[in-house]
Amino acid sequence: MAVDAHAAATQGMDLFNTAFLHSQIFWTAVAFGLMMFIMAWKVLPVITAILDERAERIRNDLDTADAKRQEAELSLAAYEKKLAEAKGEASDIVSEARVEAKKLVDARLGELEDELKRRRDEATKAIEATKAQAMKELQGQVAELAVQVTEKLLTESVDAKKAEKLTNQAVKNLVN
Amino acid sequence: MSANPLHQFEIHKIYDLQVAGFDLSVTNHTMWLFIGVGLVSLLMLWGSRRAQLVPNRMQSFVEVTIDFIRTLTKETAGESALRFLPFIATLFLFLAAANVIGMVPGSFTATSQMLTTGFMALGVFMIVIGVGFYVQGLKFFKLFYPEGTPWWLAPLIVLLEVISFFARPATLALRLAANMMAGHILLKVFASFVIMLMVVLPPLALVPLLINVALTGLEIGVALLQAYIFTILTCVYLHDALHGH
Repeated sequence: MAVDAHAAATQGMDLFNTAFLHSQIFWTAVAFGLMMFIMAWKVLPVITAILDERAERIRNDLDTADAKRQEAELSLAAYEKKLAEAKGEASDIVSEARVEAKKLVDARLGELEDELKRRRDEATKAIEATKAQAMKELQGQVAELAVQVTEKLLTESVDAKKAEKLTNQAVKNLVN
Repeated sequence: MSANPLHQFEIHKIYDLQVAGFDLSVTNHTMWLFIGVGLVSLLMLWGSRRAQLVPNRMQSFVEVTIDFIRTLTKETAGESALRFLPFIATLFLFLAAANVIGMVPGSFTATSQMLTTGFMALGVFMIVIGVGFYVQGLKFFKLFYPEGTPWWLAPLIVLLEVISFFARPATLALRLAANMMAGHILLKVFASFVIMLMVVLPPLALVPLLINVALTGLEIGVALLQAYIFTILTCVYLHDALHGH
């Protein structure tokens, strides 16, 4: 072939073979142009758009997540505040109840003490009344006895010894 | 197949096409360039076919690729360079496609051709110059005289900067083509060792074979790396054009 003959003639010069200079340049330019058209018309717009969309989506998701986190933190704070309030309220109730109970106990104790005091006073009074009564009766009987003794002394003369004996007997009678 | 390791870089006509006196014939260069670029384009289209917020595997792959180029552009050339993303993304994928499809046995590596890489490097160079003058106006010339340079050093510095500026497309083109070519020649040379040893001392043929397996992996890495380097240098040059030195 003519081409082979030409190549043989320029043996070792293949690399700078200018036989197809125009063909090389033309077809390289055409191939490059076609590829650049495909890239600029379809591939790059589509891929750039989808990359931007994804970036936007990720940014949105991050923002949403951040907002959610802040929301959660707020509600946690609110919950903790409520919890603290409830705890305070509970301890208030407990201490109130304690005070109330103490009051009740104190009142009851006071009442009991009063009651006991009253009963003791009553008993003391009763005892004293009985005592006074007894004394009064005793006095009366002693007086009566003294009258009787005097009568006897007046009616029958008795020595001292007999008188004593009589008196004792009278007292004994009285006591029994 | 020829034993000549340079045979693989030979361009031959597949379909004759003459337009207005220009020879625009479809060659193996054209065919494999279109196969590689077509496959990568289809991959990109397939991955962005029905883009979902929750991506499937293909969509994830395309997203990661695009995001990688986007990050590269932004970090190397700045936020304002993102309007060149279609160009830069295409540049990277185009070179990666051409480089990697060349790893298919029997295929043709379009980027091993100095004329192809030269054309692309010149294209990048022109775009950088255009953007530089469009964005910075005549201040773009400050590129050749960095701020803070002592006046007595100016002649030397300006000369160096001008040379380094105009060396850019040449280095860009040479680096890519040389890397692709060297890798493929190496693979071919080791492959021919395997065949030679099969004739002379069969068990020993295993050594170059294993080396070739490792080299294939390395070359796929180099194919992607060179596409990356070409792209990142383009971004560096764009940074100069957009923001000055």
